[in-house]
Amino acid sequence: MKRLWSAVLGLALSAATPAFADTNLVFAFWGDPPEVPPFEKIANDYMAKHPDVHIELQNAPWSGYFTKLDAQLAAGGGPDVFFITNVPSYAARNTLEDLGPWIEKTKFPINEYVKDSLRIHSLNGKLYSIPRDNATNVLYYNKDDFDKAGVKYPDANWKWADLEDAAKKLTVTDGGRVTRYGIVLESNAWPMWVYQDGGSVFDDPVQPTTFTLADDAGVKAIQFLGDLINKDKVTPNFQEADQMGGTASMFTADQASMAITNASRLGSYDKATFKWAVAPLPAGPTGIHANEAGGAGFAMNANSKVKDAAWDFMQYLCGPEGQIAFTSAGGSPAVPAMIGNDAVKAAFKAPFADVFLSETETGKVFPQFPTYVDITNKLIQPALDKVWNGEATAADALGAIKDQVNAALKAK
Amino acid sequence: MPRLSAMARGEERAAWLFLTPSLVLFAVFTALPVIAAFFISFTHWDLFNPPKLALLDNYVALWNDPIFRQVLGNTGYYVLLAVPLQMLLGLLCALGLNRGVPGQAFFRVVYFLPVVTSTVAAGLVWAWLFNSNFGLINMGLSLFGVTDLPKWLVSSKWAMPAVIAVSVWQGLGYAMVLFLAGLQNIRQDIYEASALDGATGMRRLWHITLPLLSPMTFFVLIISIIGSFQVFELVYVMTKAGPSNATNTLVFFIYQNGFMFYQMGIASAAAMVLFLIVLTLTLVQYRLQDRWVHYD
Repeated sequence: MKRLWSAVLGLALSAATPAFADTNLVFAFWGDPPEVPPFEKIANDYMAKHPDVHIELQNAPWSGYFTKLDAQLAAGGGPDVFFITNVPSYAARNTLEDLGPWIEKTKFPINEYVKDSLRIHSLNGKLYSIPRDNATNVLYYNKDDFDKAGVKYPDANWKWADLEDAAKKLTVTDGGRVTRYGIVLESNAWPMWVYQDGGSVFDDPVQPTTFTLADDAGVKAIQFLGDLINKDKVTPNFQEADQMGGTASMFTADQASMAITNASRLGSYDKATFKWAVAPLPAGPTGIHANEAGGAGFAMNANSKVKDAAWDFMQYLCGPEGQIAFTSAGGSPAVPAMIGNDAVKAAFKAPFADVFLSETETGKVFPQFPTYVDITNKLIQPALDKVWNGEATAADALGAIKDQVNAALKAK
Repeated sequence: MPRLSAMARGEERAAWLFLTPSLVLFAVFTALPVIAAFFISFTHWDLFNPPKLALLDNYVALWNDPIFRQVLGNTGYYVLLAVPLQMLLGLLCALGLNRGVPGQAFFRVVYFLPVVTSTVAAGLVWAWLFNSNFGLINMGLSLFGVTDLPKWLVSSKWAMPAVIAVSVWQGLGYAMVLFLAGLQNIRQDIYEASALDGATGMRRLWHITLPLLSPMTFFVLIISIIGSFQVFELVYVMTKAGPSNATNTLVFFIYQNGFMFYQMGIASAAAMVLFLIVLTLTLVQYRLQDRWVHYD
């Protein structure tokens, strides 16, 4: 009964708070429960400093977030400030506020962000969102498995061949079936491998005119991944890996001895019962280091009724205070985006922080432009599927779509 | 029209009153969206900006889209396999469980369980069973000495049969229950009369049971075909339409274009094509029913 009363009281209080506030701001973001605390902290700290503003937090899991956001935006409503990816597509639909004038007016230190990573948050030279973090990938490895198999730990000098070799030695089979994979990879991180081979997906990742994945370097990188799956059988097909829980659970369950993924996994790997460590990504055959640059960001609703308040909150959210809250969060620390700010950089104390920071410097932007969702789903992904399941070579599969992708680029 | 008595008028008013909630729901959530989709199919609309008139552009785009042709083929393949299998197995189960065998209530429940199981949960479990490496199905096949194991859900050739198998597993209980109801509607005296004439076994099944069951068969056929054209959840959960669109079906294609690519015009046009296909098939079946459906 006591609990009920306190719940009622709590509800009454939370309902009453907006009455004191002059401005009501809605801030939406996705994230699993362990990822929520920094968002709450930032909002609460901001409200403590600005008693006239009330921030309503809307949290949804990744899977349902965009369905809800799209419906709200389509109806001309939606949150005032929100967490977002695929920025160019949203900007092209006129749903996001151009942040350029706001940044200029308030002298927001945007130059402390990695310039290249801002490109995927822009459309036609205008900035529509400010990145929260860097999706920097690293190589996680299970030390116990390495010790048992007598394989040397990965180091900064590793190249693809070393990775392939170790993965073969770590893969365990029983009666023709794999009982433990050497490595598990992220299905959507394949552009990183293309970059490591000195190739590219398009001539320019944000303003493309030509499809370049079907060139030699791209074909070789995609075939390398295909061979890891089908020839060496050291990593699961991406579709099946995702169904088995992907990098998050396969590494922790020791169904794979290595995983290449980003810092958000630190939290879940923390619970692993074996010893593990982190190494830089292996370089391509010619020694090129490349990683994924940029991550999700924060945008303002173009239809917001309280843009001044929204931008004031965004300055806090995207400034050093917000960045420090995200980067020092206990459960899943983010590799900060505002890497030019010394206080932010110093606050990033995640395990293996030095590896994450040095890998961030090799970051390159993944393709991101309004028609990319269309082109990748209709043309590139179906072609890659055939390489991942071994039904076609990378040269044939990518060669077959080259003209169509180029035509699709010209159409828009 | 004859004038209604006061009481009949009162009853009519009551009837409308009771019908109103479902009529309102039908109008708001079914009729209006269908009519809206018809008009949207003649526009370019991205959900966020005002629609622009497109006339027949979307239909022409569908006609020229190789993925849409593949999707039509996939959907046809799915319907042609899933519907007969589901009906045949449903009928066999119903015949088997209509003979007073011991434990038949138990088996009726067992066969009906998949119908009431959440499609998403079932799809996820089946995806595990079909996993080409860890899955139980390939584990079983390898025990029988099969070396060239199918890659099931990631194979262009085997993904669709796998999805069909799961949908038959899930749908046959529903067909079975309907067939059971149909079987129990057949009057016992007809069987007695035919027994006197010496009809037993297959002849009795062929000349008495199946003809008298035909109205139910007709009903099951129609709803199975309509249901199969609308397959979505299983595809979404098991394969996400992959690999290389091998399991992309009409409703998934509509979803993809509408809510992933924000091309509401194309999605609505595809929905109209689906509507036309289902309508035509249903009308053809109504025409053909005189030839094989017997109402006592």
